[in-house]
Amino acid sequence: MLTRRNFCKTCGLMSMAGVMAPAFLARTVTATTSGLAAGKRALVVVQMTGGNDGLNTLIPYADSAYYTARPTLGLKEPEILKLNEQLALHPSLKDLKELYDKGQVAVVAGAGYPNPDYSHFRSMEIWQSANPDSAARDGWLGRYLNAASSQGVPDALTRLGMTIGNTGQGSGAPLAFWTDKTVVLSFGGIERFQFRGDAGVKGDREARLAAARKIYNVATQNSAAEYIRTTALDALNASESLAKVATDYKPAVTYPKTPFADRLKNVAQILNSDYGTRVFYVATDGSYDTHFNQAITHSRLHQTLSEGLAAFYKDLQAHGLDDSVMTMTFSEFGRRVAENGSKGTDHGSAEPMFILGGKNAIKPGIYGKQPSLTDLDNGNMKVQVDFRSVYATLVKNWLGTDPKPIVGGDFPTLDFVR
Amino acid sequence: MSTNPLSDRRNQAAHLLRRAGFGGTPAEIDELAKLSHVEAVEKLLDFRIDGNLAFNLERKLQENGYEAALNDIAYWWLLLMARSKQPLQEKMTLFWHGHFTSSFNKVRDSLLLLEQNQLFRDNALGNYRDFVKKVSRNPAMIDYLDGQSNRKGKPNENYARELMELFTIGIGNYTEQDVREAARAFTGWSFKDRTYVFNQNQHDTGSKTFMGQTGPFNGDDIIDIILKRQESGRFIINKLWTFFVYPNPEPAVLDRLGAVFFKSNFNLKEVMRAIFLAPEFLSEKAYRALVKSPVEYIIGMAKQLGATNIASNLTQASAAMGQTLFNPPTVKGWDGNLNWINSSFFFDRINTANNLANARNPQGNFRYDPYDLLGVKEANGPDSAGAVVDRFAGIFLDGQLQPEIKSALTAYLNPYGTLKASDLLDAASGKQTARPVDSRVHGTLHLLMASPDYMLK
Repeated sequence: MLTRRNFCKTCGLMSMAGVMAPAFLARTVTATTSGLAAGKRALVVVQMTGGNDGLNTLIPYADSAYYTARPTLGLKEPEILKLNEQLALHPSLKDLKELYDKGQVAVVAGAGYPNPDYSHFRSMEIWQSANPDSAARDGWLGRYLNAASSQGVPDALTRLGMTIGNTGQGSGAPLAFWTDKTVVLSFGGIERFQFRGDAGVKGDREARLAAARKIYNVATQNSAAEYIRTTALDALNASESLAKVATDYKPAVTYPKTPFADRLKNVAQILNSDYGTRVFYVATDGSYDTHFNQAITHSRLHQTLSEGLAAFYKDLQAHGLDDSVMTMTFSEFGRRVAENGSKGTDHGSAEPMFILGGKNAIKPGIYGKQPSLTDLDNGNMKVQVDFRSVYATLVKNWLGTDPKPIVGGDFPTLDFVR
Repeated sequence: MSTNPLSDRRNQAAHLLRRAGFGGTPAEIDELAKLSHVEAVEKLLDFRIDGNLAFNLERKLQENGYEAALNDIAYWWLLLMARSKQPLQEKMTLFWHGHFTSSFNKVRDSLLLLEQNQLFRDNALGNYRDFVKKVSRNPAMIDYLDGQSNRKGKPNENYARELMELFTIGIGNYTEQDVREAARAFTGWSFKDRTYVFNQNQHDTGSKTFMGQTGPFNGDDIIDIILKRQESGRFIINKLWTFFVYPNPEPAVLDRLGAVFFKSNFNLKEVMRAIFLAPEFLSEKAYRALVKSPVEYIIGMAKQLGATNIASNLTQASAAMGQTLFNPPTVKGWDGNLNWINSSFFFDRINTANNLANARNPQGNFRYDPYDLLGVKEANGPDSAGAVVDRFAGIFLDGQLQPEIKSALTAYLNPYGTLKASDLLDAASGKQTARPVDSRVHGTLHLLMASPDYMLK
């Protein structure tokens, strides 16, 4: 599979020697790895776009300061779903609570980074680049994919990572996947990832596709044309394998009828195939940016999140994959402790993250530390765990790669991976 | 080795229009080919800046109380690129937009971005040093790189760092101390009511030590110091050459153009003239050496198909291929060239080409007639599949078509080997019996536009 790094290494050689493209450039691609069943591990990152109200997600119900700060939005017994004597989950996270009770969920309380930024754009950029110190150039998952592929994990870099659905950054891959070397597939469904012809004339698509393949099989001496040509063949082959994955796959559960659940079903489809993707990135539906009348919106968003994730893990379990797939949720920031005058909440800082996996993958429990509601910084909770510790844990203990170059430093790992 | 396609005068004109513009219609290419290359370059360079373009739109928007969304301004600019009779003006504006990046995602204000867009247009071929100073005072830029939070005693280094790393001199040519000191020099550079303001009481008037010099510098002093360094000339020349000619310019090119840059006292028009007139610009190495960006690909198709309109959903098609105007993905702008190609963007490219090639609705908002392109009603109109492919290849690929590709296209267009001029006339008149022929005529255009060579400029 082509990577830009490999490609450019060969540019010099090609022009020096005046030779035709080396074999790997012209190689048509077949899946090089077997499925996850062969003991491989995958990571699914779920982006909760808009800034999730962490305080109404992981609720410090035993703290009266919570109800003082949230006179209309405060969530009370008996609806809340208690995890222990201090903390409870939002009532709409019922399915997630069931997974928690089964030992499949770790919660990281109080996650964030130093000197929080309250701009959606900048804070999202920080979470995706894992770099709070300067404007981003690349993303943490992209850096991971590069490291993984150079360690001899499949060289199929374009298949290693995948974005499904829009993540709020146009239709391309999210910043998290970006480096100048990585190329990940981002697609809004298998339909868009297909060669098309004239739908009004029977047989035209096939005839046209055959002609296109002939065209893409003609090598040239122009290195840029070669790059396009080989990518084209790669894309046509990938499209065919993905279409096959979609028709071959039978989910073991009925997924909820939401776009988010559809995306997770796509992830399950691909995990069950030999397509080779190890890192997936999906966003939830709608926006968590609940400045006004938060209660109803927040409930609906959490219900979609919770039901989607629960169906996904049931499906994975039925296919024997739940212990091979870990899922991490994050949002660009949490929200202000005190509710605002519009029955909503404004941009804040520390937030809880959820880590999901199989019983033999996760050490369940609550990690990090629930921030104080009285010792605040400009009305915001103080961050207790740097999110880069969570990333480092996943990279090191789950994916088995040195986290330092990926998260940009030494961050202590947490203990949620079995 | 084949001969250089750029030894042909018409191909030179087509090449120049792809680089200094967004590609040409056959008529535009013919017109430019009547001039010598030197005259053609002069004609493209000699545009009168329309200083009101963005402001006219702004005024209209404000009069109507309409809050322009990202897609509104992106479509406005896409149309401008496609229709401008001064294509280099818009091409330079696009270059500067990718260089001095600001994005809608952060700025969230269409009017600020339009004003920045006009700043790029006004200074497209102006004095680079003055231009950098204006960019440093541009409200969209100040917002994008956190100038408002850059205050005396609490500096924010975002702008200072990018000014050096991405805008003027490049990594390795400054120190972390230079970043800190430059940030102090720009303290108090802010904006209010969409207008630049200098907040004297937030400006750090103290002494700074920057790139080996010490003084109570302000932002302009910092820019002057940077632009005295030879590395700053090489940096911007490298970026312009990579955008307009080919990647990785030879050191001799950087030296030669760098000398023009400094000798002309940062005159961008002189620099661009030297780039287009450089022997390398018409070398075989430069021919089809760069990947068309999504907007270049889309506008090129529209022009070469002879489309009578540009549909507003083409901005979304461009976004799907990785380029949302006014919203580059990171502070680096668009990486460009090979980065435009990956397996996912590839399908968005060829499916957009298919949508355009398949456009048939005479009332649709994207209209063209492939039989006009073929001249089927002319005396010397094509009378065989090979003649059709040749005619299209002349329009779309400067007539440069590898024999294997020609035979693939001919076989697709004419599986039974019997295509005659009368079949094309029947298809042109919309006869139902000629529908399969019509489909394959449109399909041949799709395949040509999906070919690797056509995706290059």
